[in-house]
Amino acid sequence: MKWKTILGLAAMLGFGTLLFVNFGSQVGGYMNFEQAARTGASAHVVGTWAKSRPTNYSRAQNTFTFYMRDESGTVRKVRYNNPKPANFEEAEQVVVQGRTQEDVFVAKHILVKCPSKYNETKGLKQKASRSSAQPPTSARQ
Amino acid sequence: MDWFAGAWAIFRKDLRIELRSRYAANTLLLFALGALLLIAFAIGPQPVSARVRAALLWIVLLFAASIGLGRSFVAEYEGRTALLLRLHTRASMVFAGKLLFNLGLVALLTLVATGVFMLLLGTSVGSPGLFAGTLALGALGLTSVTTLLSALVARASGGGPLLPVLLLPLLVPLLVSGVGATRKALLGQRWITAQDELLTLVGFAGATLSAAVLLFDYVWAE
Repeated sequence: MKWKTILGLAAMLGFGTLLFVNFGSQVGGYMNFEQAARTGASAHVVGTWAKSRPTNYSRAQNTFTFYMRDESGTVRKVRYNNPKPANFEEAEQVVVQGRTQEDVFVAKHILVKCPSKYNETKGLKQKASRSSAQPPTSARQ
Repeated sequence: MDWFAGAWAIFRKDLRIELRSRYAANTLLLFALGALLLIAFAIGPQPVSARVRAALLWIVLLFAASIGLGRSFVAEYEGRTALLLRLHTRASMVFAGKLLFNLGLVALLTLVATGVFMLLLGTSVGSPGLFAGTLALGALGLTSVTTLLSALVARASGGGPLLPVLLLPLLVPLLVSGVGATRKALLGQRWITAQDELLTLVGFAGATLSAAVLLFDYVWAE
């Protein structure tokens, strides 16, 4: 009886881990630009803003374009049919959601991850020196 | 050897009762056939994507199982034979016998439903090995969850409609990875591309089976 319980719990733990690890990788959802281009469907790509490349906002067409470097290092042009998101310059990380169209990633949404002003002292100082009343950690556009 | 003999006897008893009335097999097969026929009419002649086809097949399988598999435990309580089984056998034997019986039913359901599905929707399977493997692993996971839950539900009065309600949320990982792997099989991709899905199915079947073995004693005890 005792043995059965221990063995059963061990088996459950082992198989449960197998289940969660592999299930998580199926529904995780972040891709890099190459994978996003290959699927052709809507995808989330996480990366950083490539500041050395030109960034532009066209008032006439209301499009914001910039270059983004994904986690595997690929740089690709991103077009966003909205004004530039708030806090964009301070972002540590950018997540774009959309699909690839002819070498340009057309973003429907841009998520901007900014340094927290509560956790890190560095972030706090930066915020304080700028003395602006901006939303705290992240902004959803 | 005694244990195996007991489990086998319970399996044979259920099989004979089933062959007499064909209650569970009729429910399962009629539901699956009806649902697939309606799907074929609803879709019409246009081809649908592999993902949609895989999803439809799995939904039919899950609903058919949730409707048809609850019977064997309910019959023990209705026929007042549960007490007799408790006196003469151990809980694990009952569980093993019922699991085997349900596995047979699910295997029959899967075979027939898949065959009819191919016939009606005219789909070809790109990699039959992956397809069969996915269905076998999915059937094992489906059976182990359903057997435990149907034992639980049979204790509740009027618990029949309760089974799908309890069962379907638990089957979400099975559904998601089953559909993913089936889609890849229909498209003719290789085994290795469906590695995540297959390992999830193995994990699901193993975890639910070990949980069922642990918990069945408490469900079955008076």
